[in-house]
Amino acid sequence: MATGMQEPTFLILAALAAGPQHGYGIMKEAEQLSGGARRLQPGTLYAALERLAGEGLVTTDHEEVVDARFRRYYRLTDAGAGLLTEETARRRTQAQVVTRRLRAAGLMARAADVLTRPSTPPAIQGMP
Amino acid sequence: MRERSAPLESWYRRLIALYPPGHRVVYAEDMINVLMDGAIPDQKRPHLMTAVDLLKGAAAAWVLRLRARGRAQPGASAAIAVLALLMLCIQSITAVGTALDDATASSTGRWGDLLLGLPDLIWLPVVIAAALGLRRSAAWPAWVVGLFWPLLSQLAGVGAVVPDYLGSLDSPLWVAVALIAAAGLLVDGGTHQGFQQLGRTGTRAAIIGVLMIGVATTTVPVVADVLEPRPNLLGLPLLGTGLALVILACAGALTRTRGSWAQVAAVAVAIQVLLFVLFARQDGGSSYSDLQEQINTTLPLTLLSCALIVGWSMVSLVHCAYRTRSAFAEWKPPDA
Repeated sequence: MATGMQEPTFLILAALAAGPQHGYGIMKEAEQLSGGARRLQPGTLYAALERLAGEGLVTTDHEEVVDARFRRYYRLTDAGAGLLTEETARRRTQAQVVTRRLRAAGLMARAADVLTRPSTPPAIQGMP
Repeated sequence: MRERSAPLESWYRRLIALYPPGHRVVYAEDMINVLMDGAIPDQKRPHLMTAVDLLKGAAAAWVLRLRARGRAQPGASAAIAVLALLMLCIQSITAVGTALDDATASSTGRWGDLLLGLPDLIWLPVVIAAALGLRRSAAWPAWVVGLFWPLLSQLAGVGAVVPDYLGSLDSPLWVAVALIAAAGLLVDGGTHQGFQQLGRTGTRAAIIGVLMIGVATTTVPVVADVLEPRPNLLGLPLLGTGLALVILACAGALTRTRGSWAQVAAVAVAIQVLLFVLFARQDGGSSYSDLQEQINTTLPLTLLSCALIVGWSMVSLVHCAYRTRSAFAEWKPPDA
């Protein structure tokens, strides 16, 4: 079942791994987890939350009113935690296989060199 | 606490109104708060990306319910898809037959006509995939072709307004059938379950209906030569009765009721009247050639009839879906 989990699903489950979160908190956490590369939008988030709730992977933890605003907190169920663990293991295995292949081909050092090399700052007009 | 922008909130509420009721009851207030938390000061309207994302979310929520309904009553949905695919199969075979006939009969060998049949040919792999049980794989191409079929027809008929065997009386009908097939394929359920749900009588009625539609809409010369000069005597009654049989078989599969012969007759007459009103010429002439000419010159009428028939089919389907025992729009996740 863990095969082929989509990125937003993985990020939502991962965002809830640390504990219950409300909608906006999940969005922020997911953005942080993806290193700022992926920003979940509310439409995507709530469609996924409903689907995950239907599959029994996520459930409502509690609800509260803060500054006259309603907030619902979501948490992982045991099934959700299990699926996230499986998916994480799958991704780790894949990453290890790819790393080994890169090392064997001698590309790892070169790739690391490219990644760590300081980029040339863009020239600014009027500056020497 | 930051002051909320009332116009922005009302924009968001309008977009969230597109979600199914079951989703809104559980998530609407939470969504509004998240959306307002993410708004910039003095923002009056949603960003395009956010609006598109909300629309996508609404579509996903409806599809989720469609699939849930398919799980609750897989046979009914499968039955609709089976019927629609049977009709598309007949249409494809007819179109290919006509194209081959045209190409071989012409002294100049108009093999270009085969290209005109390509939009129809696209349905054959969809039908085969669905018959083999690959419904999900078949669903997305079916949606694409169903939605873009009229456009594909136009593109295939380079220089022609509508290819002769795509754009006559049956064009809006087939677009409706294509969309119903695509919707039916999205829900869970197998082809054999579809036939089970139809029952023995329903299956017989459906097959007879599909064959009648196939004969009524074919342009293969042997059959068309008999039907074309007498559309009101043979063509329309054949088409109307075939459609009535298929519609009642669909309705029976969804509502677990069986149509009577009186219902078949009533629906058949209603369809014939509808088609006649939509397509009959003012001066009384109404051969298929005349209709073709009229459609080519009166595109708004074609579009109107297309919209009417597609809308009518969809409303009928949704109405039938609401009558079933399983909760469709009111479905909620287990913990909600």
